Amino acid sequence: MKNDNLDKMLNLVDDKYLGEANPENTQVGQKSNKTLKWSTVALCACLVLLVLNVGILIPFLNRSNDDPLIPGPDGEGDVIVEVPGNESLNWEASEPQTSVPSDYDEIKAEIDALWELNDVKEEINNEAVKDQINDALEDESQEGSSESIGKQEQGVIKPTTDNQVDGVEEADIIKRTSTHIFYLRGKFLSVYKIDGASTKKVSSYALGGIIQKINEKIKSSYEDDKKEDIIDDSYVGSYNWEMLLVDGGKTINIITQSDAVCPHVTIISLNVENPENISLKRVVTTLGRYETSRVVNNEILLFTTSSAGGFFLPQYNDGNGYKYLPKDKIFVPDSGVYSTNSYMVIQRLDAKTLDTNDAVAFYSYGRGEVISYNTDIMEITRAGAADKPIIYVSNENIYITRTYRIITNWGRSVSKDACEITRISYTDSTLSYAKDQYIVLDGYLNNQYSLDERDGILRVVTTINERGYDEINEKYVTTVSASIYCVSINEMKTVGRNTNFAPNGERVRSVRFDGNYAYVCTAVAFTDPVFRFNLTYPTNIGYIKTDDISGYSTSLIQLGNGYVLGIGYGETSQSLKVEVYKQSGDELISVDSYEVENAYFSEEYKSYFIDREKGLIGIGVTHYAYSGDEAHRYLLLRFDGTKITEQLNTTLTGTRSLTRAVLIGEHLMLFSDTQFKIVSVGFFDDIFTN
Amino acid sequence: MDDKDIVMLYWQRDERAIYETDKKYKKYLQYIANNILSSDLESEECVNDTYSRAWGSIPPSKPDKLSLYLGKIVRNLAIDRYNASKAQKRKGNYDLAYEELSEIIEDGSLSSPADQIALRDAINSFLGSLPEIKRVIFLQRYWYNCSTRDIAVKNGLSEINVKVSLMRLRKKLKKHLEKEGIVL
Repeated sequence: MKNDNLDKMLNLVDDKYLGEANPENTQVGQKSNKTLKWSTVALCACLVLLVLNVGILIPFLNRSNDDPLIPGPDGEGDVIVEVPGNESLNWEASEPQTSVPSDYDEIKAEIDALWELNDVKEEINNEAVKDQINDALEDESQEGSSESIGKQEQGVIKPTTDNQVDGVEEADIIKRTSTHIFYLRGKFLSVYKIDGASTKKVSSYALGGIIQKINEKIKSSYEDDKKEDIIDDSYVGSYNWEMLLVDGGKTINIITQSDAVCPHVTIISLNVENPENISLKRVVTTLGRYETSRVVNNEILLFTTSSAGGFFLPQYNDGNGYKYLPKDKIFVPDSGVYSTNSYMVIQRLDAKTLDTNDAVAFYSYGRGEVISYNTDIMEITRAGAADKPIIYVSNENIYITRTYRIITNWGRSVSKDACEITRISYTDSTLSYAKDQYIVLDGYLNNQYSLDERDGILRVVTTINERGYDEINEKYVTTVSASIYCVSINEMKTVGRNTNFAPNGERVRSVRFDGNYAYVCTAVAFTDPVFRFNLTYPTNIGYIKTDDISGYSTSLIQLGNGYVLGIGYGETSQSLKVEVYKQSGDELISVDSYEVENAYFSEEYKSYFIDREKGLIGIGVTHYAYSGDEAHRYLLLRFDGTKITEQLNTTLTGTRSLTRAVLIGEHLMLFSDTQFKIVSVGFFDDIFTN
Repeated sequence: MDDKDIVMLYWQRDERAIYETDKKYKKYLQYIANNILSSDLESEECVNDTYSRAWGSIPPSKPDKLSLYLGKIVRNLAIDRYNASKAQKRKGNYDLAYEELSEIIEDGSLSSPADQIALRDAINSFLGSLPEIKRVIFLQRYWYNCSTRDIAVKNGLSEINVKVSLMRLRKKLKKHLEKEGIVL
């Protein structure tokens, strides 16, 4: 009743007040950009003085020797911070800075100075962190395996996730072996024993207790009377869970993100050798926000980002406690652009033991929180697009990216989006980065599928977003288009490009590389062309394209045999369209399409079921032609080389982005956050060879 | 494209209305939904449902301020979705903001149209009596469900300053409602 009445009251607030408080409006009391520029100089001076005299601008300082796990807050209130040497500092004194030094040498010097200050504390956390892990292990019997039954042997790993790169496994909420399927339903891991139409859930493992324990540990590190003020975003959502099946199907590593007190990532390692009696192996918590992960050759590549208002050193947990990264593992971009005061940390862990083999950090590659900065020739601001860092991992290299807007005119009228891509090699035992291994390209990236590496060339597709001044007609001109680049990975230099190939106004909606070809869908409204680029000769990039077709694809998927599948919108945003394209002479043509009007689907690529050999496509939709739960449908379509036909249209409740399907024999197993369903769909022969 | 033109597209049943709405307001709507749901994907679904609701309700509606019209829809959809899945979730901004605000109210009933009018006048006169910055802080916290940290950054204040302001505003609202004879 209380909440209902509060809702009623808040719904009656006058529009003029809501408009005034709109968080997107010009902020009350915020400094102008010009003021910020001048204050930057003063703040930098203060920063240097503070570091030299006190050394307190370290938001991730540990509180005390018996507070193992937890980083300090980023500018929280008036918490008292204990630092080595029993100096007691008022946290308010280290109110976060909103700007950062602009110069490479300055930033390196700050990092070095901070590192020297904290070097001595490197080992203080170990014992207490071990205690925390042991606590979790001791409680294992209470937390998990509540439905476990007799001993069952685990089979070998079978693919479920349609990975972008063969051999580079991506995390997902579903994984399977030859004998069992694992599905993460929020904070519960459900295990299904495969047995045709009799497939059923045989055990589940509760993960919430472990996360709760870790969060409580984090909270308890703060003084009791400050808890309520500090605990803000303690949400642990069902979406923020992913898993990796490793160690030949014997170990599952579940990765989850929590924002309790400070963002942190927890990896829970489970022994699933006997899937019906799962046991906890290890828990490792690391700082920052979870971005993504991969498994390559039994090593986990974990990508996290941390950000804070002030200057700080990146930390990581090597499995034995938190440590500051060594100076030579903290990299500052050589591009001269420092757009946010944040880091991306890449950790390389043994997938079986979770021991850390290596870790590196990249300054200013985190999520954008601070708008800054200026150099002598230009101003950099946060780009309108791509807040989330986009990461692509090939078989040999990691590419991390960030996007910013370059303003070349102080009147803010001439500007363009640019993306910076940095290459890190991981073929050796260490993550290696050379100072010149980056490139800045015009435009911003759509997602990880905008990048692809082949034969020493990185191929990149961007959306161009520029604003210039036409002096002849005396007016500003905005250009929105698309470009494709070929970059030599040894030199990180462009060797070929085709710029602004899309009609003005069209931005990139989806990209897929297939061998020497790149497929790109661009659109301005609900009409798209699909382009196919021939990248056989990177210095001479040619393309063919379709005529304008209604709708646009949000995912393009190579089916093999020259076919490309598009999943996206039809004529409106309330429709689903599945279409197959193929080259015919000098054209790219639509072979067939299937459309559902008055429907909604998820753009989450991992929610689609793709079986290339059998030409099968599965997708969850909400179809407004049905009512109630019936509106939640799962469609199985088949492309046979000429036609797309519907094979199944059944009810499947739950969140569309969380639907998954596995085809075993003649049975399609459907999973969602609210339902498990088996449907007999008959046997499908292989149509295509890949 | 300005709001008037977008609303005209809705009235003409032109599907570009959805595209233009998406182009102009997607980020804003996702911000509101995400403050309640704390999930990018769920927020995206909510925003899509908002477009569908807008398509179904304009016409007959002809909102003067499209942003606020859509903002109210997405907020209510996000709250419904949040409540539906509450059992599985930990506290987010929405719960924390409501917990703060519920300290000032009793468990009353407000069902008659007269109650609604009295409540509308009371809340708006309370807001009208505040300096702009205080009003903005109050609504960003309790209507837009922003975190206190976000509010501090957006308004160039320290977080402690925001928290103290909110505490005082809650007390002030409680007194104001009591004075107006309103029991929530």
